[in-house]
Amino acid sequence: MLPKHVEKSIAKWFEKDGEATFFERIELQQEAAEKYKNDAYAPRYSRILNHILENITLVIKEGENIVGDVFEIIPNDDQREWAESLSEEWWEDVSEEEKQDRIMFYYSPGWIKRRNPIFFTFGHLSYDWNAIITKGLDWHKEHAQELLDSGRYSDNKDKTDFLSGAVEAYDAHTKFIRRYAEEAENQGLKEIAGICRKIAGGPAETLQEALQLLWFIVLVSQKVAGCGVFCFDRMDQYLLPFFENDLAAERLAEEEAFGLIVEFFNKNNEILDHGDHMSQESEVVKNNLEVTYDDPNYIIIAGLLSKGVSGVNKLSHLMIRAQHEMRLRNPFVVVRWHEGIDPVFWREVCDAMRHNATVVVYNDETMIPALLEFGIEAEDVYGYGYYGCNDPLIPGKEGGLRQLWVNLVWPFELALNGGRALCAGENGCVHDPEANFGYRDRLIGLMSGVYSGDDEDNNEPESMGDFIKLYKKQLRFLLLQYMEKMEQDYLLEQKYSAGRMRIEDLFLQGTIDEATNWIAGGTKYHKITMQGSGMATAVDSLAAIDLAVFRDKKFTLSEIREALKTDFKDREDLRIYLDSLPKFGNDIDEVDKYATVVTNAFCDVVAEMNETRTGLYSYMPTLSTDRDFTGMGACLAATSDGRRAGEQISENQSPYLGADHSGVTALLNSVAKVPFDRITGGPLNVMLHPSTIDGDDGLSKLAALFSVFMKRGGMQVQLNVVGRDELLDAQQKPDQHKNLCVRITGYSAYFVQMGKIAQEELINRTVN
Amino acid sequence: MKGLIFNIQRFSTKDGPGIRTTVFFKGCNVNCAWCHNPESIDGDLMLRFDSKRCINCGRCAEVCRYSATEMIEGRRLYHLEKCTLCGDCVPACGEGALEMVGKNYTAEELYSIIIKDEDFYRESGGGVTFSGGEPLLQQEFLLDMLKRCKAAGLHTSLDTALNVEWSSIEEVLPWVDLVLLDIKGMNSERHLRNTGVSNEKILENAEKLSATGVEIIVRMPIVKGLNDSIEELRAAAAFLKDWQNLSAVELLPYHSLGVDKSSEYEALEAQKRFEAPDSDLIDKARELFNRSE
Repeated sequence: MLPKHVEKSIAKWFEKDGEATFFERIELQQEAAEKYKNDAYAPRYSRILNHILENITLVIKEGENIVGDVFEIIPNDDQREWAESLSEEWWEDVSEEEKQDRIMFYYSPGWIKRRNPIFFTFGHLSYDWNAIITKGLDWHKEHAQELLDSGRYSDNKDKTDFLSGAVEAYDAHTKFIRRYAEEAENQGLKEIAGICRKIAGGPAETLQEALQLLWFIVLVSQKVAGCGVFCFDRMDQYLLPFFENDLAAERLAEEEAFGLIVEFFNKNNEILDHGDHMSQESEVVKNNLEVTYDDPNYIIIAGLLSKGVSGVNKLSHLMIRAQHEMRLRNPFVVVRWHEGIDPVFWREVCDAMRHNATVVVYNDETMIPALLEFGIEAEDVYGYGYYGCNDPLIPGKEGGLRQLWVNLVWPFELALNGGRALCAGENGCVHDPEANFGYRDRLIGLMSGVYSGDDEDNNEPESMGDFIKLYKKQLRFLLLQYMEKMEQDYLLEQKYSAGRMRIEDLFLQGTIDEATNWIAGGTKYHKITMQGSGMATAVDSLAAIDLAVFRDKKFTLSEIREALKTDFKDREDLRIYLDSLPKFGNDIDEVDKYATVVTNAFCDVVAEMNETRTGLYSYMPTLSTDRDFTGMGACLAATSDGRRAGEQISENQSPYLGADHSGVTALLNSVAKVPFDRITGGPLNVMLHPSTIDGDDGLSKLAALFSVFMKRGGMQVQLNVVGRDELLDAQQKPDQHKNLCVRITGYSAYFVQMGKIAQEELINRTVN
Repeated sequence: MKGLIFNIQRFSTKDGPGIRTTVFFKGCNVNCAWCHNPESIDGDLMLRFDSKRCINCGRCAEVCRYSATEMIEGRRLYHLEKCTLCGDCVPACGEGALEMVGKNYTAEELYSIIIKDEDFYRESGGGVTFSGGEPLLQQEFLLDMLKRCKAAGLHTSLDTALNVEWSSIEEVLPWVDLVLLDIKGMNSERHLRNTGVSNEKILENAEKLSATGVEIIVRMPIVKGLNDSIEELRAAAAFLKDWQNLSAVELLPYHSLGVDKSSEYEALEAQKRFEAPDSDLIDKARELFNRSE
């Protein structure tokens, strides 16, 4: 049972007007930006923050034990127009070079449009939450002040500005929390007032204080400064001492602890907007004036603490129960599975999953070796986590999202055609390797155009072994080109961003000590996630070449090449034949072995990049597409798996759309053949019809299904239990299906809030 | 020796305990009017045609060596009597509208598919189920499969209507852990009308089966107006009353899946659409069987 006020809040959230905006923030920010425009960067940042926090409306709702919310209005036309004009002023009326000076990386114009260039961050990281609650804000402030007073950085104005900015920013937080203490006092909420007064500067002692302090930090970072998409690290671990002390002191019952967790989870959901941020075409997303979209915050639970020691504890159980009962889109709970995980807990996890709670599972047994191979030190590796969407990180020790969606099908096309794009010539594509990874592609981290490969010494392959060598050669060529250009970018970025404090620098390890933001090197780790995309399309295409050309000798390589160039014009017979060849996802070894070939080729190149890099950043391979599999497919010619030109590539770790037809065990067996002990993240969407896993008996089957998948070396699994009929009905009658929550890739969405395109994608993947 | 199989369903969760692979044998000697797998009755290959997918491109007619398929005024026309079931047209169709239903497997081939999910069976207490059609009509192949599966320590289930000689049943039983026994009605005359065969042999075999001690789950399809009278259900309850190894009676209310399926085979007559029994009847019947346990 959920607390009444939480149930009320959830119901209210579904009714929330899509236009509701935390408008005060925009006005106060503009006011302060003008007022402090002549100050140095970091102090100016903190003064803007302080100005907002000193003036925004405080919101305490009835029945709450954890307080802190923002005040929203429905902007009128004038207000909307004014806010829209700011976006233009910041981002549209400036040159690319100027944008580059302001920020190096953005992920689409939609992402940056509401963000003031001085008040800039993308989130996608984890603070050192444990330090926040166990040390408190005063400690953080004093630490920065001591460094400033020590004179260590007195010859570097960027650094002293950075530190004095940090001191002011901690102060701004403390004053903000004190305002809440006063407000609570005025409303006669003595207990809440006491808690707020205490944690405004000091550390937390109880579970409620810890959650309250975490919440204020999140509220400020996410809603005011735009730093969201958090990873909360291993919440069941760092909150455990607070919980146990409360129990020992008999000041909290387990059920009350459950209520607090539920409230905290709900707070995360409450501040989000409706709409699916990956449906940029939808009205809700277009009209949004917020810096916080629907991106979820990730909470990591369970997993190993060290070799052979399980982290599953009482809080892990309570958190799964909360997810199960709430079934909200946010937060997003990642359960770390390991050999020997408590079977009762595992059953609870699977039960939550089959009820479409936002719970996904990662496998410690593959993740830990993979992270070790790609540069994580042994002392940090057991602490790994994720942020959205499915990117690995070491919490507190690295900055935000940096990624490249690596289209794994491009090197196939280039290998088949001597290093040149297949559409070259007829469709007017230019063969120019130098043009690869243009500025825009690097900025948004997506191979979105036509790519050229290495066209030297590409003799016609005489065996499948030769062909695989060419595939690797082209993949290597592309990624080394990327690295070369990125390293130049990062040097520029570091230069531009000297002294530019961002909100997250306050709460990461290393940034204050070094008096340097994470971008310029303040944290221990810096990585770019290399999101390998279209694995199954690459696998099926390679297998088709093997079977059709080298094994059965039914067609020659040049025959296939010519047909692909023209998108099977007058060669429908060939397309049908290629389409009928066995595909990844059906547990057929002669195809699935190419999953090993593709993954190892990719990981080998990434490993080589890590060995030869000269820049700050290392590289980590994942298998992930998010929802960009349509965009990446649009750039490609037809492929030898029978896919037509421009059609989507396979999504995430999944087989190609509709290619798996041998049942879910066959699907999982195929996927488990991927050498995941070299892959550091990325989702597998599994769909099951509700009738297959109903009842207690059905739960046991689901628990066994996923447990075997993990034991066989699967890395991640997330589940949608929904029938096609239900989705079609939801399209017709959205009002009756408001809370139908589905997992997309690294986030969940309410089906009826998704854009039409995303809805159709999901329906197409759903059987029955 | 090969077995004619029309479907292999992995992650089957409704045909016995745990996660299972259910192997559907083709060919049956009980012709239930409501059969939800009408394609399983004929003991030979069949060509399935999904008209919703057909774009009338004519490719199937082009490759047909027997003129069994031709294009008349831009539409596909199929002549059942000319078709030799050679299967050439199936891969020629790029839309997936044609499918050869039924495939001959050697025991080795079939076993190699079953054993791929061994880990799932062990973790979930599942195994393999041989269903159909009537698996006992391919008794020799079935026996070979059962022996292979038992040798690997797999849990085996046999889904049967028992309309065969007892000796044939008796011979496979040592390798069967669970029998899923389909009972389609107690009244002989009605049984004959509904399924084309009377039920004396079936009930006699069922009695013998219950005496062997093998675990049994009885499954009864219930179709409105055909076998849903309370007398019929009472008779069934009385019949099963003293069975020692009956672990469950599952009532399967009619669904019309077979009607749509039958329309996809030119070799099949369109199946009549029936109605599901009233839900309170099902509740009553469940009570009846619970009491008799």
